Amino acid sequence: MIFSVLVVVFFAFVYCVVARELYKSSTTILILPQEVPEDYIKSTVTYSVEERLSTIQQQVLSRPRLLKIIQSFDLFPELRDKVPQETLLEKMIERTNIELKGESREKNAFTIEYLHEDPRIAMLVVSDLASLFIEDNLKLRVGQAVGTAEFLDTQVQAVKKELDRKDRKIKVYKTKHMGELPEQMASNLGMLTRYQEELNSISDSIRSAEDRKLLLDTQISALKSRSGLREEEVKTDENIDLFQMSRKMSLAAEIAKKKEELSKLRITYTDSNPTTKKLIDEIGKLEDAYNDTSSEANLTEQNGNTVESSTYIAPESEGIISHLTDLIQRRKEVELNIKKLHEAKEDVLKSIEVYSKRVENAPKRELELKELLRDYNNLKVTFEGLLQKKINADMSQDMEKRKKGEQFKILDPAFFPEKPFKPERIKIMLLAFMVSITLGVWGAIFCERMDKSIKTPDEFREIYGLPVLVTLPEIITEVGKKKMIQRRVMLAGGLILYVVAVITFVFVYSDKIRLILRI
Amino acid sequence: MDSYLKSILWKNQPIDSFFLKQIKTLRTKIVHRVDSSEQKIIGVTSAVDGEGKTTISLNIASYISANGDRNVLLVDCDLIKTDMTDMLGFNGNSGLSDYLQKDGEGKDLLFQKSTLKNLFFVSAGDPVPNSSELLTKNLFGDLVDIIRGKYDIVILDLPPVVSTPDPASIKNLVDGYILVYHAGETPRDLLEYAIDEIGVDRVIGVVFNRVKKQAIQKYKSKYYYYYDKKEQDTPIK
Repeated sequence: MIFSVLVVVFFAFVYCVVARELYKSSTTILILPQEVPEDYIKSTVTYSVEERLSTIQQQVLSRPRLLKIIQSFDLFPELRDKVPQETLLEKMIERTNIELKGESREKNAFTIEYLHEDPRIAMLVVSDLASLFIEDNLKLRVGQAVGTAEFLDTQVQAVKKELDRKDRKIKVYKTKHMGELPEQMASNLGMLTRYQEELNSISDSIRSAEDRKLLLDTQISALKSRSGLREEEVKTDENIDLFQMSRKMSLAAEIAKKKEELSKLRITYTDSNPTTKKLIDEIGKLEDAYNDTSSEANLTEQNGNTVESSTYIAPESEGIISHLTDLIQRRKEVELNIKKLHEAKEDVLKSIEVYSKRVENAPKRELELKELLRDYNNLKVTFEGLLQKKINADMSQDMEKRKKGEQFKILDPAFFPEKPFKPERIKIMLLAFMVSITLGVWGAIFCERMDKSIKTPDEFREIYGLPVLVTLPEIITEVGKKKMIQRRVMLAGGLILYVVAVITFVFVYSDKIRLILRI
Repeated sequence: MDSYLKSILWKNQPIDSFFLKQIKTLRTKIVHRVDSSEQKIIGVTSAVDGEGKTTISLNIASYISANGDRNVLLVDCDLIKTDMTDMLGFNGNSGLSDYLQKDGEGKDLLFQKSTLKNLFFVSAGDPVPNSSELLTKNLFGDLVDIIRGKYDIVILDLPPVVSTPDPASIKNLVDGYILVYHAGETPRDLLEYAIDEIGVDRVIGVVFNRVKKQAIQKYKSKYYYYYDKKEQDTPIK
């Protein structure tokens, strides 16, 4: 153990004296919150302090920036031509330390430290790095705010366009299905009811008209029967020829009369009877005359006299004809009315069909419209949200540009270090001492563990249960004595060498040692 | 006398030395055992070479012979290394190996009287490589029988168990073994192998040998508290 202490402590001492001194300069930078309260303008720079600092650190400690610093301050002159640039950069990064300060949730400051052999250079490099951090922070914040505002602007435009498109689509739909829209349902039902009532009314009217027509038909039939005219001769149109009708009525009456006479004669006589025959001829002539449609045809009276003038109307026929004419006219009017009513009914039925269709389609339209409106409303909500964000982003951008956002400010400028930071001599010596002690102890334990021999008679008895007859000491022979002396001489020699080495070292490095110890 | 022999022999130790006291104790124990059980053929062996079995064999044989009226025979059975034979100056003389190789020829010359009183010696003879073969011959068994009848105590200086099977191969001929152990040196596994080979029930006891000075002091303070506490081994002059 003594050996390990002597050796390790000596080497530690040599290192402490010989190692190159490094000086550390540092600066503290405060992270000031934005000047405008957050309740008024919420910043769009949402990175946490740690994230931002990490980003800026990567930018500041990037290759081109570091190379520039190395050249500006002439760092590592002895290495610049000998090692690759990557090695220089690694060395520089190793000597730089950036650390956040503050409570875990509220980091509000950070320090920049740099180590160098020359204290003045250390201070200048730290100052330069601090400036870079402050500038880059500002650029980062403005960049992010501008980027956010621009992005939101494009988003708002896009959403608005889509919103307008959906609006037009809804309008087209409403126009296309006007009448079937849910809000028109009540109106449609009202109309339907009204048309239904109208239909009922028309149907009633038609029934009444039909009844009237039937009555008129009955009356006309009755009059026809009285007139003796054939059905087809009873004209009911406008070209009714009263004279002809009258003549025909007379002829018809005459014919009827003659036929009655004939039938009576036929009871007694056959048709070959001259009287019968004559009667039959008269009937024939009357029928011929009846069938003659000319208004100028002469009418043969019962006694064979010809009735002249087409304007003549037999007195007995005039009443019938007038009544019949009136009836026929009235019947025409009724028929016309019925026709009109039927037409009206058709119209109403068509309207009912239209409104029924509307009512039937209304639920479907309601669903379709609901879907369109839902999409539209959702998009509208999105649009309103985006718009609000855009307004905020514009204000945030302005705030950053005016440097009213979060800022870095130097709290504690880089200082000139008066005493070296490394090597930490006291720590190294203490550590060396402890390591040497530990090594010694562990070495002893290790040797103890590796030694599988039996040390004492008690141990022997315990393990093997064999009696230990005697315990005999080592006999020191002449040879043994010589070996012991040799060992002691070697040990003494080693110690002397050690002392000489220490003295030589102290002598060679006396100036530095005096400086270190401030003697 | 060889200077090495001088330095290790009990005679040349200080009268009040711990070594001498322990040799006395050992002698007492062995003699007591021989007297009580008639077990007079004692093999002295160890696990490995250098544990001090030859020194112990010599010291105990010579001490017993010098301090009593018993005839003690010391036999160098290490036919490979023959340290005892060389130390006592009998190298070159005909010995056990010759006797066994020549089928019993030269028996009369086998038993040598040593310079020490009542101590007789059988040298190993010339070193041979086939010691196991020779020692397992009936001839050797017959020789042991003769020795048993002729001497009071027989100490056989045997080779180490780990190096050769010789000590185990004559198990049936010896009455017991004294195992010599170099304290703090010989690893346990070798020791256990040696005990297994010769048989734990055949071991009379162990001599805990070459113990360091500090350990001896502890031992003495534990077991010999009535001795003078300043007592210590004096260097060999």
